[in-house]
Amino acid sequence: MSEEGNSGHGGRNLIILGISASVIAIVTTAVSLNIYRSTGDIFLDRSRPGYIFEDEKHNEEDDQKESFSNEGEVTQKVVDEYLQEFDKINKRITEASDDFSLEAISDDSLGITQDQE
Amino acid sequence: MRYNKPMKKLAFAIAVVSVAASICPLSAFAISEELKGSISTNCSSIKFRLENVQKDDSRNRVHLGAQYESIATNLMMNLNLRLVKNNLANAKLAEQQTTFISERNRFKNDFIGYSQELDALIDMDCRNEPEKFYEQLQLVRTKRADVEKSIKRMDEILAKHRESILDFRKGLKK
Repeated sequence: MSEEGNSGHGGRNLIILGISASVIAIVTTAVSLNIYRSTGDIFLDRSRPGYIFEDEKHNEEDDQKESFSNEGEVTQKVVDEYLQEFDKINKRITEASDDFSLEAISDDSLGITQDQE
Repeated sequence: MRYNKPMKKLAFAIAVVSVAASICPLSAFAISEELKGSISTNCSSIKFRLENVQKDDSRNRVHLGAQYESIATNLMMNLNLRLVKNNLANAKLAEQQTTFISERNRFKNDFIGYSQELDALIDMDCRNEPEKFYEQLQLVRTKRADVEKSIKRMDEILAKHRESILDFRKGLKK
C-alpha cells in the first residue's frame, strides 16, 4: 500500500520536475534573448543566416595583420614603420567612411516617390 | 465681481483645451497623401530594401569596428607603451589614444541606437500605417546621421594623430 503510494508520488514528481525544467529553460532563454537584443549584440552577430559570405571571411583574415611592437628603441625609421602600418588601416577606414551615408535610406533609394500617377 | 463667473468659465475652457492639446496633439507628424500612397503601395519593396541596408550596415559596422580596434590596440597603444619604455612619453599622443577610444565607444553606442530604431522600422506596418512609418524613418535618419558624424570625428582624430606623429618624428634620431 505504502509502496503504491510512493510510486504514485514518484510519477507526479517526475512530471513536476519536467515542467519546472521546461519553464526554467524558457524563462532563461527569453531573458538571454532579451539581453542579446537590448545590448545591441544582435546587430553585430553576422553568424545569423544570410549575414556573412565566404569571400568576406577571407577579407576579415587579411584585416588583422597590421601590428606594432611595444618593445625596442624609437627612431625615425621605427616611426616610419609605424606610419606604414597606420596608413594601411587608415586607408581601409577612409574607404569605408561613406558606408553610413544617408543616401542608403533616402526616399529615392527606398523607392518612396511623391509623384504617383 | 459680476465678471467673475464668465472669467472663470473662460479660464476653465482654456485650461481644458491646453491639457487636451498636450495629451493628444492634433497631428504630430503629417505627410502628403501622395507620400502615404507611395509607402502603402511599395511597402514590401521598401522593407526589402531596408533589410538589405540592415545587412550591409552590420557588415560595415563589423569591418569598421575591426579597423578601429586594430588602430587602437595594435598601433596607438603599443606606440605609447614603447615611448614610455624609452622615456619619450608624449602627452599629445597619449591624449589622442584616449580620445580615439572614447570616440570609438561613442560610435558603438550610436550604432546600437541606430540599429534598434531601424529594427523597429522594419517591424512596422507600413501598408496600414504609412504616417507612423515615415515618422520612424525620419528618426532612423537622425540616428544614422549620428553614426556618420561619429565616423567623421574618428577620421579627424586619425588625421590629427598622423600629423602629431610626423611632428614627433622630427625630434628623433635617424
